[in-house]
Amino acid sequence: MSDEFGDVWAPELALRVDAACRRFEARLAAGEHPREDDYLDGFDGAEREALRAELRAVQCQWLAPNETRDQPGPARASVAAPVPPRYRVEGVLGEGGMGVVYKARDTHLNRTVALKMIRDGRAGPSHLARFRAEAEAVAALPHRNVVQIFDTGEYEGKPYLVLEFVAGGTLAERLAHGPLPPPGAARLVETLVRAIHDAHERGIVHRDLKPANVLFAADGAPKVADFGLVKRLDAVAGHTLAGDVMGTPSYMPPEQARGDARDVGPTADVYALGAILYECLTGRPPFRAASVTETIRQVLHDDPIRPRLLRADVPNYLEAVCLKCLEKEPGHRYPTALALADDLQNYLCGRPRPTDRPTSAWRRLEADLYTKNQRSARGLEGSVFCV
Amino acid sequence: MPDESVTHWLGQLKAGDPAAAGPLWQRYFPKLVALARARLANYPRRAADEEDVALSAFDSFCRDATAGRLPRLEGRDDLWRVLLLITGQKAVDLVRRESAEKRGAGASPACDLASIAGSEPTPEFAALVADEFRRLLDKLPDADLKALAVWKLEGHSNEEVAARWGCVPRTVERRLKVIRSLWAGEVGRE
Repeated sequence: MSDEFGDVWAPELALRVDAACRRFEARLAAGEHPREDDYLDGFDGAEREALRAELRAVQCQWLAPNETRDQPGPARASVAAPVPPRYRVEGVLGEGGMGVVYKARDTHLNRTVALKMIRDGRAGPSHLARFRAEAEAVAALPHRNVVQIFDTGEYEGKPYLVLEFVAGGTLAERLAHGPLPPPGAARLVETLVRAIHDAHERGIVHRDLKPANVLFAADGAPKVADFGLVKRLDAVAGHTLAGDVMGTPSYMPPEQARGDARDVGPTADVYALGAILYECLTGRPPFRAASVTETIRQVLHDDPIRPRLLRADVPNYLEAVCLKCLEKEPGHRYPTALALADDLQNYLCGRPRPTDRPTSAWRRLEADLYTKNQRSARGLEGSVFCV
Repeated sequence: MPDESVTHWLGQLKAGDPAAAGPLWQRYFPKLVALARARLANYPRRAADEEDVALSAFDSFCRDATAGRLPRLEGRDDLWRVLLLITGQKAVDLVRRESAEKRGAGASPACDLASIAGSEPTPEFAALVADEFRRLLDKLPDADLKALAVWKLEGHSNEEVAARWGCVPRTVERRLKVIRSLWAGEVGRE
């Protein structure tokens, strides 16, 4: 049957070739000169030649002069959304349902920035005001580990943000190559947690922490991106919970996956940071199913697989930290990001873990029932549970 | 009189001759898409699902196509061709199973395909197209591939997608090849 679909690769080969080519093209897009041979590991014989031919073709097209662009690289993307004249688009860093993020040159200050243009024009004045207020709040959060906002404005009726350009890729890209060593994972997440704590202190909750929103600077410093703005951007475009900007629910706490915005506070970020730590240690997020619906079901109802079952070298200490962050009930997580940061620091300093509430499913059930009994005014509901 | 049955049309598509299929495409496609759209609208909505965004984009495309704006069939690698061939195959399988259940060997499947697919689009065939579209979209492992599939079904050129993604056209061609390889692997599977 496959010949009816023309010249097709085996699916598994197609995905591997594509992944290698995309890594290669990302380096070209960053203005680097990647070597073909560095991308051929794990490919032999005809597969190796197929990949080599594909890499060459991609490189040729990048370097070839093109009538619609005067520089190598797809500056053509600038036709997709007009940008303020002060900025010269040099490439596309990412694209979502609401807009596009360009790598751009600020011609006044002669520096590279990330320019986030909102494509959707349905923003009402009150939305724009809130968008701006939040951008200002983040602008007031000068932290080495937070992607800085340089400017905000409107161009042709659409809001845009000018952000610090961070060159070293994302945590999601790093994790695609496998998990991190436990101490490195703990150190990285501790750094992120302290940055988030700083934001919480200023009343800002991120609400969309995930490996794709953790960037690395050229010096290796991790930086949290899309700070509290994703949710705001959603509101600007008149979207509710649904939409591709929300993306995966793999890092979302149950209260957020349920769509109850009122319950989404700082402990939602604690949950997401725990999910990031989990993925750094095991190479996969705590919940990920074939469909979004199934992932949400798991987030709401299933216990995560213990990290040590996935990788035996995960220390007990860090497993306990992950599971405490990933508690379904916000009140059972670390009460603050600071408490989580201190626990991670404790581990890094080699101190023993302070005694914690029980984490086994049965003990937790007992504890939950006890809490419910306490709350149950007449004791009727409680007596049923106590049987 | 030329054979205008959809069986013949799918045969032309299968032989990689989209131009020959052109006249019927013009007549058949808008009705098919209108019927498929109604089917897609009846799926339960999923929360926070990027696929829903793709499907709602597809829905507005269906509206345009129903109003007469058609994508061109681009050749052997056209995703509409792939989608319709897979659906045609599925329809043949269905007919074969049903007639086998009834009385062992029946009429030739090709003849019976016409009863499902019709010389006019039937709701049954359109429903199969919609179901297959949804199922095949589910097989694509990331949001970019899903978006690409929808854009191509909407008739966007590789160059337009490349400009949108900020990549070279070769990358779009390669990713289409990925989609076709994933979909070709789905033929005959439930």
